[in-house]
Amino acid sequence: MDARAHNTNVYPQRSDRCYLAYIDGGMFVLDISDKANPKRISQWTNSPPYTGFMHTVMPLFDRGLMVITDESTENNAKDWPKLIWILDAREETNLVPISTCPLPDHQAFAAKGRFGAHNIHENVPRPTAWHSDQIVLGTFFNGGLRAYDISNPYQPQQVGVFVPPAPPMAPTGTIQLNDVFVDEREIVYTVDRHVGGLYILEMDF
Amino acid sequence: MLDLFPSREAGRFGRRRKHARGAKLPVIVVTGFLGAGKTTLLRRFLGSPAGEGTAVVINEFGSVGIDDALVRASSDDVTLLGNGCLCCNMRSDLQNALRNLLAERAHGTVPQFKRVLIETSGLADPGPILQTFATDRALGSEFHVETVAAVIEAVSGLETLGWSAEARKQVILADRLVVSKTDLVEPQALKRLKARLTALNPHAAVHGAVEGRLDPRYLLESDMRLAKTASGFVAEAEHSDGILSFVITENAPLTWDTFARGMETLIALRGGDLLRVKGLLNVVGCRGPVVVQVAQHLAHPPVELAAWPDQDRASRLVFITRGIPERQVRDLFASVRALAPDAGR
Repeated sequence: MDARAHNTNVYPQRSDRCYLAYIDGGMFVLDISDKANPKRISQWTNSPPYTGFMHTVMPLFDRGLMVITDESTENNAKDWPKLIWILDAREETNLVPISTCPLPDHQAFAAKGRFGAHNIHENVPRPTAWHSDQIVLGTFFNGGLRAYDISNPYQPQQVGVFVPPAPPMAPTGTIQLNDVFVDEREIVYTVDRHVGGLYILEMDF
Repeated sequence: MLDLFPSREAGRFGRRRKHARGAKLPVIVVTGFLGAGKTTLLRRFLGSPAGEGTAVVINEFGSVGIDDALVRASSDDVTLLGNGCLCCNMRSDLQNALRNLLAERAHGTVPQFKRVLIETSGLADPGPILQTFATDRALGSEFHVETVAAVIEAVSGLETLGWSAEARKQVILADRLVVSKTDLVEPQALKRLKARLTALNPHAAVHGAVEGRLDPRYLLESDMRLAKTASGFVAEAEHSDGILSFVITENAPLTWDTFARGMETLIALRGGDLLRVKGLLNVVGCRGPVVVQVAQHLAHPPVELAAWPDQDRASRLVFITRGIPERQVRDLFASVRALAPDAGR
């Protein structure tokens, strides 16, 4: 059991809110209008029965949605399923999970390394970052980089996938795509966790 | 649904896309009469950097797969459909071949191809192939017909077009016309052939190719601008087979509901005779152009693109019909527009 802060996101659209992923403690929405005295507004967790390690909470303010990721931390898909979750957050005190972003059968990826959700492009509030409330891009270790159309948030659809071959000397013998960022020109940067370096891609959908 | 979770990024038809195909796999259909040079074109394309990642489905009419042997050297994934013609008994084979390709790709038993190229038998009518993608929901959700290219041989093409209804249909339904072996004929003969092709299909660009050399972009990219460009030359082409083609253009933005009512009426009355309708609409309230495609009774869901392909903002719709003249279509839309509740406002 590991209960501590992971990604701790504050966006200018709601500077009095902190969207906190809290590893095995699920996630919290905090009122931080008094920085010295943050107050809990709501909490949501999928574990148990899932296996914890909540990683990122990204609100989509216009749409009243939240995108939440788990992190896969064990090799050979032992902690499957680690997913990207979509929550109805129109009422911030009552968060309702409405869907997950679909992944292929984990058995096809269980032979080597980690498989499952990790980072997403977080709509970083900078002019040099891409912002979207229609597309979610996430890294899934040996499941590669995947893009989902969440225009209908009840039925996310995969619209792009990039799974490069194992880099030379990869310790797990497979790709382990770890993080992703999209710039304002819609150029996608994704990195391997170990030795594969940086991959630069274009979105074509 | 969209009302529950509104987004400033989404339009009337949902997420705006970069291409009409969205995330679907593009399909290139290469058609053309026997001996037209389809395989040469294919081989050249597959051997070029642009052709990388292409899965090929070949429809052979004869029992010996000579064409398959020719292209296999340059492509990893070739599926050969056996003895028959794609337009009739082989349609289910095409469906199976495409489904198998997807399944094998998902399982990693074939490489991660990024497009599919279908070479039809020389005797195939491409109409039913296009219809397959429109009617098979599973295929339609995975594949998008990006380009239909017809190859016409410069030496005997004109003669073939004279006696073969299939050859004419191939030309009429194509987005791109590729004249092969242009180095083997006199300029005057080539001019006569091109005039015949333009008469049959005024909306498709005509490209020449010697030994299969063609700019790969002509196969990879559909050109939505063509309809407008070509309409200045021939407003309506009538073919001996009772097939008509024409372009309807409109400079003023259209109201979607009015257009949809008109199209629904046309489909209800004469859907079977709408061989192909495609184009871009400038719809009131939409930032980008709306792509519309109809094949007989089936209308693809409209898609709003992120941007117009050029400066022209006029709506432009190509109709290829069996016996429905331009005037009747224009009159129908004019009547619907006049009767619409918001008419005159």
